[in-house]
Amino acid sequence: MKRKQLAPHIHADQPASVRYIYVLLALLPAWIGAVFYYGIRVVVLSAVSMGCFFLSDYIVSRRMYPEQSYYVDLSSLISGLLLVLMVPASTSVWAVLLASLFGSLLVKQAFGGVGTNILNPALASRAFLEFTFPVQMTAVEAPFSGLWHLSSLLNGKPAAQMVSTETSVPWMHILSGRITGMAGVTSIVLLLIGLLILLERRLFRFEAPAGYFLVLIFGYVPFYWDALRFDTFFVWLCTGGLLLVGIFMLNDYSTIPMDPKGRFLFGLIAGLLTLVMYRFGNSTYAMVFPVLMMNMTTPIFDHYLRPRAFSKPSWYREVEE
Amino acid sequence: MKRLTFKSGFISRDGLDFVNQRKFMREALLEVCSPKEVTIPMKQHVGTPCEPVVSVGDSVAMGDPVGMPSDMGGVPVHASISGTVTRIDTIRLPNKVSCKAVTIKNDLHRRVSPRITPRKNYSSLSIEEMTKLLWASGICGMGGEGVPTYTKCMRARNAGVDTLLVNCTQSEPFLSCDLHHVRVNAAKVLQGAMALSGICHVKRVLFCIEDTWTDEIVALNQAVENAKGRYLDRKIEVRLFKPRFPQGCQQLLIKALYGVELELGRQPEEAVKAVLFNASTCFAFSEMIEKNQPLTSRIVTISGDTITGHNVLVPIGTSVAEILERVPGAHSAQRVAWGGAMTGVAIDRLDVPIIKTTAAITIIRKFEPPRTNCIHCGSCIGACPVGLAPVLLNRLIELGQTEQLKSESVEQCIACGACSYVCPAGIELSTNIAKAAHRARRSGRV
Amino acid sequence: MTRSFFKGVTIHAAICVLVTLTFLFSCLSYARSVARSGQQEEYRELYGSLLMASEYRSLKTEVLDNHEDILAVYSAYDESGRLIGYILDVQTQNADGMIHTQMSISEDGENLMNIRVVEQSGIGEALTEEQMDTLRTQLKGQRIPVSVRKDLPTEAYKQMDYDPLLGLHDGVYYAQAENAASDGYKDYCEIEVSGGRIVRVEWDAENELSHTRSQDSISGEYKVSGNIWAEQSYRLCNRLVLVQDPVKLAMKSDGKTEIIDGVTIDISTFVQLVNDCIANSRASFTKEQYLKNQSGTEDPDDDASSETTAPPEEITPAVTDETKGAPEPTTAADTEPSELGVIGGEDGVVSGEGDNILSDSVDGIPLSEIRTYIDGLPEAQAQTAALLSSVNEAYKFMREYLNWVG
Repeated sequence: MKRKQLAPHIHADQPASVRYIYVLLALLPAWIGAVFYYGIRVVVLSAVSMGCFFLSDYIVSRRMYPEQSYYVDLSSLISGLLLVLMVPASTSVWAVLLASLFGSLLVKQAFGGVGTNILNPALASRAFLEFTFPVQMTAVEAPFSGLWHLSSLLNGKPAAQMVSTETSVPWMHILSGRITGMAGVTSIVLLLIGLLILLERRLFRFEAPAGYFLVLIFGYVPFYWDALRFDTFFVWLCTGGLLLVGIFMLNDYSTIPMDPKGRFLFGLIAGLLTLVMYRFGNSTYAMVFPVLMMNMTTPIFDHYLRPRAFSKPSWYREVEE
Repeated sequence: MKRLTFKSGFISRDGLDFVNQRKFMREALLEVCSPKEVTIPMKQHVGTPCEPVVSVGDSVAMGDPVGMPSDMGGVPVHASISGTVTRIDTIRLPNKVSCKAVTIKNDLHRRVSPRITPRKNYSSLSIEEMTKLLWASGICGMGGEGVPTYTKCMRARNAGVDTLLVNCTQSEPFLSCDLHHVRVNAAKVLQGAMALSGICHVKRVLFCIEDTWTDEIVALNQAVENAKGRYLDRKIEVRLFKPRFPQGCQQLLIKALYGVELELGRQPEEAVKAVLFNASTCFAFSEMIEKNQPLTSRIVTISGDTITGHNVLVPIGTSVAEILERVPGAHSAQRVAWGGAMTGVAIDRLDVPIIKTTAAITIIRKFEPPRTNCIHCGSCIGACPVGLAPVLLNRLIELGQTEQLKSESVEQCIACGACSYVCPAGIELSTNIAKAAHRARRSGRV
Repeated sequence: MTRSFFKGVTIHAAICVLVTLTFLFSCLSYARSVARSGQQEEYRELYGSLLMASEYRSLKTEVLDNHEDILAVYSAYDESGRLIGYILDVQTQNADGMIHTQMSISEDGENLMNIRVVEQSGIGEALTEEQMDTLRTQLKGQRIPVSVRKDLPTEAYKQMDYDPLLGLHDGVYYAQAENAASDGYKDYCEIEVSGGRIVRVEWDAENELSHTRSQDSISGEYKVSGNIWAEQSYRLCNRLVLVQDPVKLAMKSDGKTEIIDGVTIDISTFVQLVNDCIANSRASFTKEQYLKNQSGTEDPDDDASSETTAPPEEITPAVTDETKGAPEPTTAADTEPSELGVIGGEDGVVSGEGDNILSDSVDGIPLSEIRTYIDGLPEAQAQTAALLSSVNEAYKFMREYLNWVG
């Protein structure tokens, strides 16, 4: 029973599982909003997604990595929930099931399980859906259009097709997320409530989101010099899922650099890529792919951007060569 | 006033079960411990070990020397109680020092050595006399470093330092033994610091204290005001620091104060022309010059998550068991650490004596955090005060890449424990890296 | 993973859920209130020129189902929540085309407050703004239903232009049947002449028990087909006040008339008694004298003044002889300088233009109900008629709705 009793004898009160539980809590407002606007389907979808993610992670990690089998990984629950928040409410169960299996097995466990995966599992699953179920991903519907509608869970057809006449949405709707879009990413305020929880628990690492939003806000003007549309830009900023990405994806542990400087640079480049994608792609691409692309560069950041040890010159690596 | 600090490390918060400890630090309770017997190790300092100068059956009074070093590289040790020497044997201290130890049985007469008499003319002592007293007092760095103060003063004098720093910032988050001296005996601390500054030929004295200790700052300022008339040739200042662990560490204090990063093996005397003394050390030296009393007792902070904290005045050599007897709630402890919560050594047997450098006894009931995979969070990188990347070092240690470890400057590790403290995965980073650093230093020296 | 940890998580989750739900529901209710005030703003913009109110409520009643032409009805309220009127959206169709109008009507459903044309098609040229202004000045504040004077078959039916009978003396005059009728009531009639015009007519009867027929009809003891007798009597009297001449009541030979809405009873007794009264008036034979005479069982001719052109003798027989109550139009015609005497034929059927009188109704409303006549626009008759027909549609709805309500 007795483990070696090593200093320090006290520890910060937030072990990994506690952190994951609080991140889940921070996602709760957005999830409640999704249920509020899109009804019972979101509950079913998130149960399927989180359950599938969690079970496949659990089983596979026990088989593949016996050395990890002494604890239960809760981060797969977060990935499952994030995935559901980023898809339209009318997505079918099969699509979500497939995507979560993809994220769990190929993105996470194939690279060594929790902490060693290169891509963010939730984002990768979302990108997977974008390519495998493109129709379902574009068939978004308006809030309150099918609170008790269940058949879309099987066939993926929305309760009411979106009417694309959103000429002027009241700002109150934009803030509260009552806007046609993905299930859980449209409400800026609900995501900010989640951010408050993270801040209160000191779980929010601001560097990467700061870089990301700095570029988004200040980079917009030079980038779109010929086609400045501030109203649509801010609506996109508020409702395009960027806040979800900024708060939760750029605050992920495994897939972003460990060093604060690296995180900031990571956020800057991700923001730049987001602007490019928004300009030349669509808003879903702008939400999903920049961070995924940057995830792949994280090991490089980790290698080159590191704190400088005492008595070492700043670029000691080069000096030593 | 500008508040100084260094980057990284962590700000100790009350988020732990130590939340009650803040109160006791404000109104520190001082108890006097009178042990049945004491075991006085002959090597409590860094340097030459002492040889016992008493034999079994001898009767000693408090303040009588029981061990003398063979040269000036060590400092003598003294009997902390009056009684009879019952045993002289070899013991192993938790800090992995093996040495002879003299066990004295208390006769409860409280006989004081005749040498200890109040000195009338202490303010007119010459520097040479004071230097002798400093050596004879047996004082060594009481913050945990253990370098004999005499040695340090000589080194400082040779290096020609211009500043004397008095470290009133506690080296660990839940200690208050130095602060107790600062609050209660600020004048004496100041007097000791002035005497030391005289020995070191220093004209500038800085008191470093964290800005949360308002009572202590008030007392210190008061003492400084009172002393200015007496020490006209000295410049005395108080510098405030932001509370941050491990502020008390010499390297980080220098970093915060001068912005200079001390390399491995480089002493502040050479790097910034400053010498650092602990507040308790200063107090002990003022006792020596006033009463000719050598270092025979020290204040030990007893803290933990199951008990309310105490500051106890303990004769050197008292066993931990005897201190814990009078601490309510100590029996439920899962572990007892000989030292502070961050860097103390967990002890299995409670008959370990308190030595000159033991600032605290920590009693822990808290369970270890669950051990999980490294989640790549980078908290340890943010916490490391000397700018290492503990997660990478730990991985290199696991892989056995010794050469790579050296290029990552593993030897810079100060073993503060911050990385293990913040690690959400419960990985024993600090221990692994400190061991590797120790090995690297040794191999580097050879 | 201690108990305090779970407690902390639970508290956080509870706060989180609470804040989220509070936020979502407050947003929802705010959005609803914004939509509601936006609707009011929209209504105000639409109908404010017709009737400015602080709140407009769409009226939903089953009465609307009976009126296909009424597109929408709104009740308008002021700040204190008092009903100040109605706004009707009317689209009427006729053979030529259709007209879509909006109008405001006072809260009692009687007066037209304002009107405008939203759309018209097929009915001549669109009304210009000046034309509308003219019409509006004619219509505003008038009681509905409305008709154009031109619609009337004769000039005689213009409300204010009914010429009074000549030779009437001011005062109150009275006439009573000789015998009780078969139902046991004894009819009497009283008219008041002022300024040469009949301003008040009252027809009633009294039985042995001193119960008046009107009272009994109201209490249900006396029954006739159609409206209760008291109302029929009232309507008849009112019509007489309007037309001034019993001949114009167009009584047919069977003692009935068709031109008075809601009057189905035999009016011959009334006509006879009124003629008596008129004769008395011409003879300045006042009610007091008549009653004195009656009590003295004397004929009133003793007191008849010599000024009258019609000798009382001629009347008296008319009263006494004809029990069944055919009036004596010729007699009346003789006494009148007006050439209108020709209207009343022997059987009450009038010829020529008079044909319209009997069958006339404007937009399905009997002429007797028409409260206001306007000049209309001579140059845009069809449009005016269409406009008025929509007003009258609104009137019909309001009549039914107000009855239904209370």
